Amino acid sequence: MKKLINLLRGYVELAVTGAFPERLLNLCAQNRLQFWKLCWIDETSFTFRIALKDRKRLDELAQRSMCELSEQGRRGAAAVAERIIERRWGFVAGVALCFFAVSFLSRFLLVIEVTGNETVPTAVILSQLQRAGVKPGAYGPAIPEKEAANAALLGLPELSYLAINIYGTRAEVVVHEAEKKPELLDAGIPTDVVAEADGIIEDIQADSGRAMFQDGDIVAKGEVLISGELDLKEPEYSTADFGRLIVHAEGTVTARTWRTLEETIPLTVQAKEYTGEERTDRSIKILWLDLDFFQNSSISGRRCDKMTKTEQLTLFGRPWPVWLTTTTLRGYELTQHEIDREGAAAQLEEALLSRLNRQMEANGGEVLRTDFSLREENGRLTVTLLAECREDIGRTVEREGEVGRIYGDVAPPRRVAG
Amino acid sequence: MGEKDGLLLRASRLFDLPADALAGTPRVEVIGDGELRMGPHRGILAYGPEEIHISGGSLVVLVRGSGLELRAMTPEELLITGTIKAVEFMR
Repeated sequence: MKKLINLLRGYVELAVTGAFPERLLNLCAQNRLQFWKLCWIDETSFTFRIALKDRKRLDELAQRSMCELSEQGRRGAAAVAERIIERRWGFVAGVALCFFAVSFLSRFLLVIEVTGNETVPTAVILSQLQRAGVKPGAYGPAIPEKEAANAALLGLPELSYLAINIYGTRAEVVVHEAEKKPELLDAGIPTDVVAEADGIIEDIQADSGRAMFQDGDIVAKGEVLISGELDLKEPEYSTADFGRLIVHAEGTVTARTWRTLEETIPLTVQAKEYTGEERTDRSIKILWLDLDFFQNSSISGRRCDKMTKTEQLTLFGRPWPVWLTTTTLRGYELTQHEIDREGAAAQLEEALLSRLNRQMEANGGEVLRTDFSLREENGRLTVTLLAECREDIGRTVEREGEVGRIYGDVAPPRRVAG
Repeated sequence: MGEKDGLLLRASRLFDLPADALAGTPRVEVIGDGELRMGPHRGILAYGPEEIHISGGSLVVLVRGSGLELRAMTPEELLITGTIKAVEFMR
Protein backbone atom coordinates (compact mmCIF):
# COMPACT_ATOMS: atom_id res chain seq x y z
CA MET A 1 0.00 0.00 0.00
CA LYS A 2 2.80 2.35 0.97
CA LYS A 3 4.55 1.50 -2.31
CA LEU A 4 1.45 2.45 -4.21
CA ILE A 5 1.13 5.74 -2.34
CA ASN A 6 4.79 6.52 -2.99
CA LEU A 7 4.28 5.75 -6.68
CA LEU A 8 1.30 8.06 -6.87
CA ARG A 9 3.02 10.86 -5.01
CA GLY A 10 6.18 10.48 -7.07
CA TYR A 11 9.70 10.16 -5.72
CA VAL A 12 13.34 10.95 -6.49
CA GLU A 13 16.19 8.50 -6.18
CA LEU A 14 19.32 10.26 -4.99
CA ALA A 15 22.94 9.42 -4.41
CA VAL A 16 24.51 11.23 -1.43
CA THR A 17 28.25 11.70 -1.09
CA GLY A 18 29.97 13.40 1.80
CA ALA A 19 32.42 13.03 4.65
CA PHE A 20 29.61 12.26 7.08
CA PRO A 21 26.61 11.35 4.94
CA GLU A 22 24.69 10.00 7.96
CA ARG A 23 24.32 13.60 9.06
CA LEU A 24 21.98 14.18 6.14
CA LEU A 25 19.80 11.30 7.34
CA ASN A 26 19.65 12.81 10.81
CA LEU A 27 18.71 16.19 9.37
CA CYS A 28 16.04 14.58 7.25
CA ALA A 29 14.60 12.91 10.35
CA GLN A 30 14.71 16.15 12.31
CA ASN A 31 12.92 18.01 9.50
CA ARG A 32 10.47 15.17 9.03
CA LEU A 33 11.48 14.44 5.45
CA GLN A 34 10.44 10.91 4.81
CA PHE A 35 12.99 8.70 3.06
CA TRP A 36 13.17 5.01 2.22
CA LYS A 37 15.10 2.38 0.27
CA LEU A 38 18.32 3.49 1.99
CA CYS A 39 21.25 1.66 0.49
CA TRP A 40 24.75 2.18 1.85
CA ILE A 41 27.41 2.06 -0.86
CA ASP A 42 30.51 2.80 1.20
CA GLU A 43 31.45 4.87 4.21
CA THR A 44 31.03 8.15 2.37
CA SER A 45 28.07 7.55 0.12
CA PHE A 46 24.64 6.01 0.00
CA THR A 47 21.49 6.14 -2.11
CA PHE A 48 17.95 6.69 -0.94
CA ARG A 49 14.56 7.76 -2.11
CA ILE A 50 12.63 10.80 -1.10
CA ALA A 51 9.17 12.18 -1.96
CA LEU A 52 9.14 14.56 -4.90
CA LYS A 53 7.65 17.37 -2.85
CA ASP A 54 10.61 17.27 -0.40
CA ARG A 55 13.24 17.53 -3.10
CA LYS A 56 13.88 21.29 -2.76
CA ARG A 57 14.17 21.18 1.03
CA LEU A 58 16.67 18.36 0.70
CA ASP A 59 19.06 20.61 -1.22
CA GLU A 60 19.16 22.95 1.73
CA LEU A 61 19.81 20.10 4.17
CA ALA A 62 22.54 18.67 1.93
CA GLN A 63 24.30 22.02 2.05
CA ARG A 64 24.10 22.06 5.82
CA SER A 65 25.48 18.54 6.11
CA MET A 66 28.19 19.23 3.49
CA CYS A 67 26.93 16.47 1.25
CA GLU A 68 26.61 16.34 -2.47
CA LEU A 69 23.41 15.15 -4.11
CA SER A 70 23.07 13.60 -7.51
CA GLU A 71 19.71 12.56 -8.92
CA GLN A 72 19.50 8.98 -10.16
CA GLY A 73 15.98 9.33 -11.49
CA ARG A 74 12.43 10.43 -10.88
CA ARG A 75 9.55 7.99 -10.82
CA GLY A 76 5.86 7.85 -10.02
CA ALA A 77 2.71 9.54 -11.29
CA ALA A 78 3.60 13.04 -10.08
CA ALA A 79 7.03 12.79 -11.73
CA VAL A 80 5.46 11.69 -15.01
CA ALA A 81 2.98 14.58 -14.81
CA GLU A 82 5.84 16.97 -14.11
CA ARG A 83 7.74 15.65 -17.13
CA ILE A 84 4.67 15.97 -19.35
CA ILE A 85 4.10 19.55 -18.26
CA GLU A 86 7.75 20.41 -18.87
CA ARG A 87 8.24 18.70 -22.20
CA ARG A 88 4.80 18.28 -23.77
CA TRP A 89 3.12 21.56 -23.12
CA GLY A 90 1.11 21.13 -26.32
CA PHE A 91 -0.45 17.98 -24.96
CA VAL A 92 -1.16 19.68 -21.65
CA ALA A 93 -2.69 22.64 -23.46
CA GLY A 94 -4.83 20.19 -25.46
CA VAL A 95 -6.05 18.50 -22.30
CA ALA A 96 -6.80 21.88 -20.75
CA LEU A 97 -8.66 22.90 -23.90
CA CYS A 98 -10.67 19.67 -23.84
CA PHE A 99 -11.55 20.29 -20.23
CA PHE A 100 -12.61 23.82 -21.13
CA ALA A 101 -14.64 22.57 -24.06
CA VAL A 102 -16.38 19.94 -21.97
CA SER A 103 -17.08 22.20 -19.03
CA PHE A 104 -17.91 25.45 -20.82
CA LEU A 105 -18.74 24.85 -24.47
CA SER A 106 -21.06 21.97 -23.54
CA ARG A 107 -23.37 24.59 -22.08
CA PHE A 108 -24.20 25.97 -25.53
CA LEU A 109 -27.16 24.51 -27.36
CA LEU A 110 -26.29 22.47 -30.40
CA VAL A 111 -29.42 20.48 -31.07
CA ILE A 112 -33.09 21.31 -30.60
CA GLU A 113 -35.42 18.32 -30.80
CA VAL A 114 -39.14 18.82 -31.16
CA THR A 115 -41.47 15.97 -30.21
CA GLY A 116 -45.22 15.58 -30.08
CA ASN A 117 -46.19 17.59 -33.19
CA GLU A 118 -48.20 15.98 -35.97
CA THR A 119 -49.78 18.73 -38.02
CA VAL A 120 -47.73 21.76 -36.98
CA PRO A 121 -44.40 21.61 -38.88
CA THR A 122 -41.24 21.37 -36.80
CA ALA A 123 -39.76 24.29 -38.75
CA VAL A 124 -42.62 26.55 -37.60
CA ILE A 125 -42.04 25.61 -33.96
CA LEU A 126 -38.27 26.08 -34.31
CA SER A 127 -38.78 29.47 -35.91
CA GLN A 128 -41.00 30.59 -33.03
CA LEU A 129 -38.50 29.23 -30.50
CA GLN A 130 -35.74 31.16 -32.25
CA ARG A 131 -37.69 34.37 -31.66
CA ALA A 132 -37.88 33.41 -27.98
CA GLY A 133 -34.09 32.96 -27.89
CA VAL A 134 -33.94 29.16 -28.07
CA LYS A 135 -31.67 28.41 -31.03
CA PRO A 136 -28.49 26.49 -31.78
CA GLY A 137 -25.55 28.38 -30.30
CA ALA A 138 -27.54 29.95 -27.45
CA TYR A 139 -26.00 29.74 -23.97
CA GLY A 140 -28.13 27.12 -22.20
CA PRO A 141 -28.04 28.39 -18.58
CA ALA A 142 -29.09 31.87 -19.78
CA ILE A 143 -32.32 30.60 -21.32
CA PRO A 144 -35.32 31.07 -19.02
CA GLU A 145 -37.04 27.84 -19.99
CA LYS A 146 -40.53 28.63 -18.70
CA GLU A 147 -40.62 32.18 -20.02
CA ALA A 148 -39.29 31.11 -23.42
CA ALA A 149 -41.87 28.30 -23.59
CA ASN A 150 -44.70 30.72 -22.75
CA ALA A 151 -43.46 33.26 -25.30
CA ALA A 152 -43.29 30.60 -28.02
CA LEU A 153 -46.69 29.21 -27.07
CA LEU A 154 -48.31 32.64 -27.47
CA GLY A 155 -47.14 32.74 -31.07
CA LEU A 156 -48.40 29.23 -31.82
CA PRO A 157 -52.15 29.06 -31.26
CA GLU A 158 -52.16 25.57 -32.80
CA LEU A 159 -50.39 24.25 -29.71
CA SER A 160 -51.90 23.75 -26.29
CA TYR A 161 -48.69 22.88 -24.43
CA LEU A 162 -45.00 23.52 -24.94
CA ALA A 163 -42.16 22.67 -22.57
CA ILE A 164 -38.44 23.19 -23.01
CA ASN A 165 -36.00 20.86 -21.25
CA ILE A 166 -32.31 21.61 -21.64
CA TYR A 167 -29.86 18.72 -21.24
CA GLY A 168 -26.35 20.07 -21.86
CA THR A 169 -26.07 20.76 -25.56
CA ARG A 170 -29.49 19.34 -26.34
CA ALA A 171 -32.83 21.07 -25.89
CA GLU A 172 -35.86 18.85 -25.91
CA VAL A 173 -39.07 20.64 -26.83
CA VAL A 174 -42.23 18.72 -25.98
CA VAL A 175 -45.41 20.00 -27.56
CA HIS A 176 -49.06 19.00 -27.49
CA GLU A 177 -51.26 20.14 -30.32
CA ALA A 178 -54.52 21.91 -29.56
CA GLU A 179 -57.77 20.40 -30.71
CA LYS A 180 -59.43 22.39 -33.45
CA LYS A 181 -62.35 24.46 -32.28
CA PRO A 182 -65.59 23.27 -33.87
CA GLU A 183 -67.11 25.75 -36.26
CA LEU A 184 -69.94 27.38 -34.44
CA LEU A 185 -73.17 27.85 -36.28
CA ASP A 186 -74.16 31.45 -36.12
CA ALA A 187 -77.91 31.20 -36.21
CA GLY A 188 -78.13 34.99 -36.00
CA ILE A 189 -77.05 35.45 -39.63
CA PRO A 190 -79.84 35.06 -42.22
CA THR A 191 -78.86 32.68 -45.01
CA ASP A 192 -80.21 30.78 -48.01
CA VAL A 193 -79.01 27.49 -49.42
CA VAL A 194 -78.30 27.88 -53.15
CA ALA A 195 -77.35 25.41 -55.87
CA GLU A 196 -73.64 25.07 -56.46
CA ALA A 197 -74.13 23.26 -59.76
CA ASP A 198 -76.85 22.36 -62.24
CA GLY A 199 -78.58 19.07 -61.50
CA ILE A 200 -81.66 16.96 -60.82
CA ILE A 201 -82.65 16.91 -57.17
CA GLU A 202 -82.83 13.42 -55.70
CA ASP A 203 -83.41 14.41 -52.10
CA ILE A 204 -83.93 17.77 -50.43
CA GLN A 205 -83.92 18.02 -46.63
CA ALA A 206 -84.44 21.45 -45.05
CA ASP A 207 -83.30 21.50 -41.42
CA SER A 208 -84.36 25.11 -41.15
CA GLY A 209 -85.91 27.31 -43.82
CA ARG A 210 -88.26 26.47 -46.65
CA ALA A 211 -87.46 23.98 -49.43
CA MET A 212 -88.12 25.69 -52.74
CA PHE A 213 -87.94 22.53 -54.86
CA GLN A 214 -89.10 18.94 -54.71
CA ASP A 215 -87.35 15.65 -55.49
CA GLY A 216 -87.00 15.24 -59.25
CA ASP A 217 -86.90 18.97 -59.98
CA ILE A 218 -84.21 20.35 -62.26
CA VAL A 219 -82.24 23.20 -60.79
CA ALA A 220 -79.71 25.58 -62.27
CA LYS A 221 -76.54 26.77 -60.64
CA GLY A 222 -77.23 29.72 -58.29
CA GLU A 223 -80.92 29.01 -57.66
CA VAL A 224 -82.14 29.19 -54.07
CA LEU A 225 -82.88 25.67 -52.95
CA ILE A 226 -83.77 26.29 -49.32
CA SER A 227 -84.93 29.78 -48.55
CA GLY A 228 -84.28 31.46 -45.24
CA GLU A 229 -87.53 33.35 -45.60
CA LEU A 230 -90.65 31.66 -44.12
CA ASP A 231 -94.09 32.99 -44.77
CA LEU A 232 -96.07 32.70 -41.56
CA LYS A 233 -99.49 31.28 -42.34
CA GLU A 234 -102.45 33.15 -40.97
CA PRO A 235 -105.59 31.30 -39.86
CA GLU A 236 -108.31 30.92 -42.45
CA TYR A 237 -110.48 34.02 -42.88
CA SER A 238 -107.99 36.10 -40.88
CA THR A 239 -107.35 39.59 -42.16
CA ALA A 240 -104.18 40.12 -40.10
CA ASP A 241 -100.77 39.66 -41.77
CA PHE A 242 -98.47 37.58 -39.62
CA GLY A 243 -95.55 38.61 -41.82
CA ARG A 244 -92.46 36.55 -42.66
CA LEU A 245 -89.79 34.97 -40.55
CA ILE A 246 -86.19 35.34 -41.66
CA VAL A 247 -84.04 32.41 -40.48
CA HIS A 248 -80.62 30.89 -40.95
CA ALA A 249 -81.49 28.32 -43.64
CA GLU A 250 -79.81 24.94 -43.48
CA GLY A 251 -80.20 21.56 -45.08
CA THR A 252 -78.84 19.06 -47.56
CA VAL A 253 -79.73 18.86 -51.22
CA THR A 254 -78.57 15.67 -52.89
CA ALA A 255 -78.67 15.91 -56.65
CA ARG A 256 -77.46 14.16 -59.74
CA THR A 257 -75.03 16.41 -61.55
CA TRP A 258 -73.04 16.33 -64.75
CA ARG A 259 -69.64 17.80 -64.59
CA THR A 260 -67.43 18.63 -67.53
CA LEU A 261 -63.72 18.93 -66.89
CA GLU A 262 -61.04 19.59 -69.44
CA GLU A 263 -57.25 19.25 -69.58
CA THR A 264 -55.02 20.16 -72.49
CA ILE A 265 -51.41 19.66 -73.53
CA PRO A 266 -49.37 20.86 -76.54
CA LEU A 267 -48.58 18.18 -79.10
CA THR A 268 -44.95 19.25 -79.30
CA VAL A 269 -42.97 20.02 -76.19
CA GLN A 270 -39.49 21.19 -75.40
CA ALA A 271 -37.50 18.43 -73.78
CA LYS A 272 -34.20 18.56 -71.94
CA GLU A 273 -31.34 16.67 -73.45
CA TYR A 274 -28.47 16.36 -70.99
CA THR A 275 -25.09 17.18 -72.50
CA GLY A 276 -23.20 15.03 -69.99
CA GLU A 277 -21.54 18.03 -68.43
CA GLU A 278 -21.87 17.64 -64.67
CA ARG A 279 -20.38 19.39 -61.70
CA THR A 280 -20.79 18.78 -57.97
CA ASP A 281 -20.15 21.46 -55.34
CA ARG A 282 -20.29 21.04 -51.60
CA SER A 283 -20.77 23.44 -48.73
CA ILE A 284 -20.79 22.93 -44.99
CA LYS A 285 -22.84 24.79 -42.45
CA ILE A 286 -21.76 24.57 -38.82
CA LEU A 287 -24.23 26.21 -36.47
CA TRP A 288 -24.65 29.60 -38.15
CA LEU A 289 -21.32 29.52 -39.99
CA ASP A 290 -21.74 28.82 -43.71
CA LEU A 291 -18.65 27.55 -45.48
CA ASP A 292 -19.53 27.78 -49.16
CA PHE A 293 -16.49 26.98 -51.24
CA PHE A 294 -18.03 27.48 -54.69
CA GLN A 295 -20.43 30.41 -54.16
CA ASN A 296 -23.15 30.61 -56.87
CA SER A 297 -21.18 28.62 -59.38
CA SER A 298 -22.81 27.33 -62.55
CA ILE A 299 -21.93 25.80 -65.88
CA SER A 300 -20.98 28.89 -67.82
CA GLY A 301 -23.01 29.89 -70.88
CA ARG A 302 -25.19 26.79 -70.77
CA ARG A 303 -28.57 25.86 -69.43
CA CYS A 304 -28.24 23.68 -66.40
CA ASP A 305 -30.30 21.89 -63.79
CA LYS A 306 -29.34 22.66 -60.23
CA MET A 307 -30.12 19.99 -57.66
CA THR A 308 -29.40 20.83 -54.04
CA LYS A 309 -29.41 18.18 -51.36
CA THR A 310 -28.89 19.08 -47.72
CA GLU A 311 -28.07 16.41 -45.15
CA GLN A 312 -27.72 16.89 -41.41
CA LEU A 313 -24.94 15.10 -39.60
CA THR A 314 -26.18 12.34 -37.31
CA LEU A 315 -23.90 10.78 -34.73
CA PHE A 316 -24.92 8.13 -32.19
CA GLY A 317 -28.52 8.47 -33.37
CA ARG A 318 -28.64 12.20 -32.64
CA PRO A 319 -28.66 15.06 -35.12
CA TRP A 320 -25.83 17.60 -34.80
CA PRO A 321 -25.82 21.21 -36.05
CA VAL A 322 -23.69 20.40 -39.05
CA TRP A 323 -25.25 20.39 -42.50
CA LEU A 324 -23.61 19.23 -45.70
CA THR A 325 -25.11 20.69 -48.86
CA THR A 326 -24.34 19.00 -52.15
CA THR A 327 -25.22 20.96 -55.29
CA THR A 328 -25.17 19.09 -58.58
CA LEU A 329 -25.24 21.05 -61.82
CA ARG A 330 -26.19 19.18 -65.00
CA GLY A 331 -25.97 20.94 -68.32
CA TYR A 332 -28.70 20.39 -70.93
CA GLU A 333 -29.97 21.60 -74.30
CA LEU A 334 -33.62 22.12 -75.19
CA THR A 335 -34.99 20.17 -78.16
CA GLN A 336 -38.45 19.98 -79.66
CA HIS A 337 -40.18 16.62 -79.30
CA GLU A 338 -43.55 15.35 -80.33
CA ILE A 339 -45.41 13.85 -77.41
CA ASP A 340 -46.61 10.29 -77.19
CA ARG A 341 -50.36 10.82 -77.72
CA GLU A 342 -51.53 7.70 -75.92
CA GLY A 343 -49.32 8.30 -72.94
CA ALA A 344 -50.30 11.97 -72.77
CA ALA A 345 -54.00 11.11 -73.01
CA ALA A 346 -53.64 8.60 -70.17
CA GLN A 347 -51.88 11.20 -68.05
CA LEU A 348 -54.55 13.81 -68.72
CA GLU A 349 -57.33 11.32 -67.94
CA GLU A 350 -55.64 10.52 -64.68
CA ALA A 351 -55.30 14.22 -63.86
CA LEU A 352 -58.97 14.82 -64.68
CA LEU A 353 -60.13 11.94 -62.50
CA SER A 354 -57.96 13.24 -59.69
CA ARG A 355 -59.52 16.70 -60.02
CA LEU A 356 -63.01 15.22 -60.05
CA ASN A 357 -62.34 13.09 -56.98
CA ARG A 358 -61.06 16.13 -55.11
CA GLN A 359 -64.27 17.99 -55.94
CA MET A 360 -66.39 15.03 -54.85
CA GLU A 361 -64.47 14.71 -51.59
CA ALA A 362 -65.14 18.36 -50.84
CA ASN A 363 -68.90 17.95 -51.45
CA GLY A 364 -69.23 14.45 -49.99
CA GLY A 365 -70.37 13.09 -53.33
CA GLU A 366 -69.71 10.09 -55.51
CA VAL A 367 -68.92 9.54 -59.18
CA LEU A 368 -71.55 7.45 -60.95
CA ARG A 369 -70.21 7.38 -64.50
CA THR A 370 -67.33 8.86 -66.46
CA ASP A 371 -66.80 9.40 -70.13
CA PHE A 372 -63.65 10.72 -71.81
CA SER A 373 -63.31 12.31 -75.22
CA LEU A 374 -60.13 13.36 -77.07
CA ARG A 375 -59.62 16.00 -79.67
CA GLU A 376 -56.68 17.62 -81.41
CA GLU A 377 -56.83 21.24 -82.45
CA ASN A 378 -54.40 24.10 -82.86
CA GLY A 379 -51.46 21.84 -82.07
CA ARG A 380 -52.89 20.80 -78.70
CA LEU A 381 -54.37 17.59 -77.39
CA THR A 382 -57.47 18.14 -75.25
CA VAL A 383 -59.15 15.51 -73.10
CA THR A 384 -62.65 16.20 -71.84
CA LEU A 385 -64.23 14.33 -68.96
CA LEU A 386 -67.99 14.17 -68.68
CA ALA A 387 -68.91 12.74 -65.29
CA GLU A 388 -72.25 11.90 -63.78
CA CYS A 389 -72.16 12.38 -60.05
CA ARG A 390 -74.30 12.34 -56.97
CA GLU A 391 -73.44 15.13 -54.57
CA ASP A 392 -74.69 17.72 -52.15
CA ILE A 393 -75.09 20.83 -54.25
CA GLY A 394 -76.36 23.06 -51.45
CA ARG A 395 -74.16 26.00 -50.54
CA THR A 396 -75.05 28.34 -47.71
CA VAL A 397 -74.89 32.02 -48.63
CA GLU A 398 -75.70 35.03 -46.50
CA ARG A 399 -78.71 37.13 -47.35
CA GLU A 400 -79.47 40.72 -46.54
CA GLY A 401 -81.37 41.71 -43.42
CA GLU A 402 -81.59 40.29 -39.94
CA VAL A 403 -83.02 37.18 -38.43
CA GLY A 404 -86.54 37.73 -37.14
CA ARG A 405 -90.06 38.56 -38.23
CA ILE A 406 -90.74 41.11 -40.98
CA TYR A 407 -93.97 42.27 -42.53
CA GLY A 408 -94.77 42.77 -46.19
CA ASP A 409 -95.09 40.71 -49.37
CA VAL A 410 -93.42 37.37 -49.71
CA ALA A 411 -90.49 37.80 -52.06
CA PRO A 412 -90.23 35.31 -54.94
CA PRO A 413 -87.31 32.84 -54.87
CA ARG A 414 -84.16 34.56 -56.07
CA ARG A 415 -81.40 33.40 -58.28
CA VAL A 416 -77.95 34.00 -56.87
CA ALA A 417 -75.07 34.54 -59.24
CA GLY A 418 -72.71 31.61 -58.79
CA MET B 1 26.16 11.07 30.78
CA GLY B 2 25.55 14.56 32.06
CA GLU B 3 24.98 15.35 35.71
CA LYS B 4 21.37 16.31 35.03
CA ASP B 5 20.66 13.12 33.10
CA GLY B 6 22.12 11.02 35.85
CA LEU B 7 19.99 12.79 38.42
CA LEU B 8 16.82 12.22 36.42
CA LEU B 9 17.73 8.56 35.93
CA ARG B 10 18.27 8.09 39.64
CA ALA B 11 15.00 9.89 40.38
CA SER B 12 13.09 7.66 38.00
CA ARG B 13 14.53 4.58 39.71
CA LEU B 14 13.75 6.01 43.16
CA PHE B 15 10.12 6.76 42.29
CA ASP B 16 9.63 3.68 40.09
CA LEU B 17 8.87 5.84 37.08
CA PRO B 18 9.69 4.87 33.46
CA ALA B 19 13.17 6.15 32.73
CA ASP B 20 12.44 6.83 29.04
CA ALA B 21 9.64 9.21 29.95
CA LEU B 22 11.41 11.04 32.73
CA ALA B 23 15.05 10.97 31.74
CA GLY B 24 14.77 10.64 27.95
CA THR B 25 16.68 7.38 28.05
CA PRO B 26 16.31 5.51 24.76
CA ARG B 27 13.78 2.68 24.64
CA VAL B 28 14.78 -0.15 22.35
CA GLU B 29 12.08 -2.54 21.17
CA VAL B 30 13.11 -5.66 19.25
CA ILE B 31 10.41 -7.71 17.55
CA GLY B 32 11.77 -11.16 16.81
CA ASP B 33 15.03 -10.81 15.00
CA GLY B 34 13.69 -8.79 12.07
CA GLU B 35 12.61 -5.42 13.44
CA LEU B 36 14.04 -2.93 15.88
CA ARG B 37 12.40 0.28 17.02
CA MET B 38 14.23 2.84 19.02
CA GLY B 39 13.22 6.18 20.47
CA PRO B 40 14.05 8.76 21.42
CA HIS B 41 17.29 8.92 19.50
CA ARG B 42 19.76 11.57 18.51
CA GLY B 43 20.57 10.42 15.03
CA ILE B 44 22.59 7.87 13.12
CA LEU B 45 26.31 7.80 13.74
CA ALA B 46 27.27 5.13 11.26
CA TYR B 47 25.31 3.09 8.82
CA GLY B 48 25.90 -0.14 6.96
CA PRO B 49 24.06 -3.34 6.05
CA GLU B 50 25.81 -5.23 8.82
CA GLU B 51 26.15 -2.59 11.51
CA ILE B 52 24.25 0.55 12.45
CA HIS B 53 25.32 2.92 15.18
CA ILE B 54 22.60 5.01 16.72
CA SER B 55 23.13 7.81 19.16
CA GLY B 56 20.83 7.53 22.15
CA GLY B 57 22.17 10.56 23.96
CA SER B 58 23.78 9.05 27.07
CA LEU B 59 24.64 5.84 25.23
CA VAL B 60 25.27 4.53 21.74
CA VAL B 61 23.25 1.59 20.49
CA LEU B 62 25.00 -0.80 18.12
CA VAL B 63 22.79 -2.98 15.97
CA ARG B 64 24.57 -5.91 14.31
CA GLY B 65 23.13 -8.24 11.77
CA SER B 66 22.81 -8.72 8.04
CA GLY B 67 20.81 -6.89 5.40
CA LEU B 68 20.07 -4.15 7.87
CA GLU B 69 18.00 -1.30 6.54
CA LEU B 70 16.80 1.95 8.01
CA ARG B 71 13.14 1.78 7.06
CA ALA B 72 11.85 4.90 8.74
CA MET B 73 13.30 7.72 10.73
CA THR B 74 11.59 10.61 12.49
CA PRO B 75 13.06 13.00 15.08
CA GLU B 76 11.56 10.81 17.82
CA GLU B 77 11.85 7.28 16.56
CA LEU B 78 13.55 5.07 14.02
CA LEU B 79 12.86 1.66 12.59
CA ILE B 80 15.48 -0.82 11.44
CA THR B 81 14.67 -4.05 9.60
CA GLY B 82 16.82 -6.94 8.51
CA THR B 83 18.24 -9.91 10.36
CA ILE B 84 19.27 -8.66 13.78
CA LYS B 85 21.95 -10.71 15.47
CA ALA B 86 22.93 -8.47 18.36
CA VAL B 87 22.20 -5.21 20.08
CA GLU B 88 24.98 -3.63 22.10
CA PHE B 89 25.05 -0.58 24.32
CA MET B 90 28.12 1.56 24.64
CA ARG B 91 28.72 4.46 26.96
